[in-house]
Amino acid sequence: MDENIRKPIREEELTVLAQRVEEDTREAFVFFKQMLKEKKGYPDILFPYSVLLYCAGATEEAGKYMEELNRINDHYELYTRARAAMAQGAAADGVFPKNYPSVEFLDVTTQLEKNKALLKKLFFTGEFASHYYSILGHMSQADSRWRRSFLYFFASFYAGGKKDDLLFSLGQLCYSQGELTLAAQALGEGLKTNPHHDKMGLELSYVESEVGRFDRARELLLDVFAQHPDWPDVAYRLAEYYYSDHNIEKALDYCNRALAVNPSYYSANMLKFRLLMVKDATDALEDFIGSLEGHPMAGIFQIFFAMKTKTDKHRVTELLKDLPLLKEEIIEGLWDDMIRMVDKAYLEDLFESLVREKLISEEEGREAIKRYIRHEHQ
Amino acid sequence: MSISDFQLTSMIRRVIVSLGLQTSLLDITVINGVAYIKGKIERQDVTIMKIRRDYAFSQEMMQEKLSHEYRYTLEALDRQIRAMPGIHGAVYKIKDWERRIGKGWIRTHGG
Repeated sequence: MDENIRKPIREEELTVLAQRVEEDTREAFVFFKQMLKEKKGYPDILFPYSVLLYCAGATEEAGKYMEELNRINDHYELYTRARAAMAQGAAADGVFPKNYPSVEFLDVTTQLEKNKALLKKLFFTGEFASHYYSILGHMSQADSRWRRSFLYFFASFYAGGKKDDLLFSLGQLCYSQGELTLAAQALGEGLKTNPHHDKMGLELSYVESEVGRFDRARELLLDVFAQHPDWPDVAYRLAEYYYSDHNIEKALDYCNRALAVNPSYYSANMLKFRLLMVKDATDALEDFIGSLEGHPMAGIFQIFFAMKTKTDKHRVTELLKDLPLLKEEIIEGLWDDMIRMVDKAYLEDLFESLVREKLISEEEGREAIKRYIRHEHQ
Repeated sequence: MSISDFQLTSMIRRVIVSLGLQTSLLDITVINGVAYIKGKIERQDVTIMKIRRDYAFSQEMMQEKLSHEYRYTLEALDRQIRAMPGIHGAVYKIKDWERRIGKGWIRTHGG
């Protein structure tokens, strides 16, 4: 795997890549046309499609799509700049960038200097060139063509792409291949380049948490949260962090922050329910479940709450009848942590009652009792 | 902090990325070693778009081909998640798909 990224770029690879551009562009057209037909990713999909058209020489058609995009979303600088550049007829072969920012990651700068003369012969530069090669890089990545994707990102940088964009793309490429050390290096350098990059900090926090640098992951998340308190995913990740760190109050606080922005956030609702159950906060649980009326999780929470508060077993049995999949999941052991909060004598009676009602087989009942009551620590 | 839910969520997210699925369409969480994944699975790659284009003449055939691709992806996802150290199981609420014990992934709607 790692040779896709670590291997130094050879001249013949760049030549082969340049020969592939036309075919990859045709494949990209198929992809984007189909996406447009199905209105998938609309309207943002108009940007790459328009750039591809423009770079392929269909400037008039490209202009129409860019215009359409700006009619829908005119507050994104990238789009307004692109529209203006297309309107002015930006040259497809623009000014050769004179001073590239230095990129340490994988010696990108050294590799670029070494291949500069060849790159100049093979790839065009200018207003849209960096976007064009970057789009082809992402297309190759989606198709698991890792080396080609890497080379396109490199070409995109040569064509005038921003340093932080290059590092973010390479970081994501490494991440998707499980090259976590490299991903951390790329994203770390990217974050130093642009501490306000929209996605870099969050992406890096995922890498850091996976490799076990939890404090670093938390710091990154707190930084991103300070900049974007309205991003529920970041608040939720902090809740997850504090839950793993056994800080129930802080976990609950961040769960509530995530839910304040997105009340139907599945993961946050799941975790909040767990936290309130752990806290044994009966009133808060009742309020919480009540607030979820109509939410698909409400029925599941109601059942576990009823079990924990030793509600009449017939009532629980009736509730379980409405959720046959949940019953299977309980038997499979997927709600262990919830079940283990229930009084054992009550639980034993409940399983026996489920057997009597033929909601589970005798064997399933025996297994459940064995799992949750008799040998719970095995 | 030992291997934790916080870490396992990251590991699952990476598996999802490596399979070409869109993380923005999925809610992923791990609580006490059980993974909970809810949302919609969607791959946006040339293979999927080619199926949609090449079988546009027959909705039935297109859906059959797409189901095959997505089933394979879901099987790989489930296999890789369950193989992770620290994971005891996985609960899925995936739009149009259900994982049934002993039967694997079943498409519940044409979609």
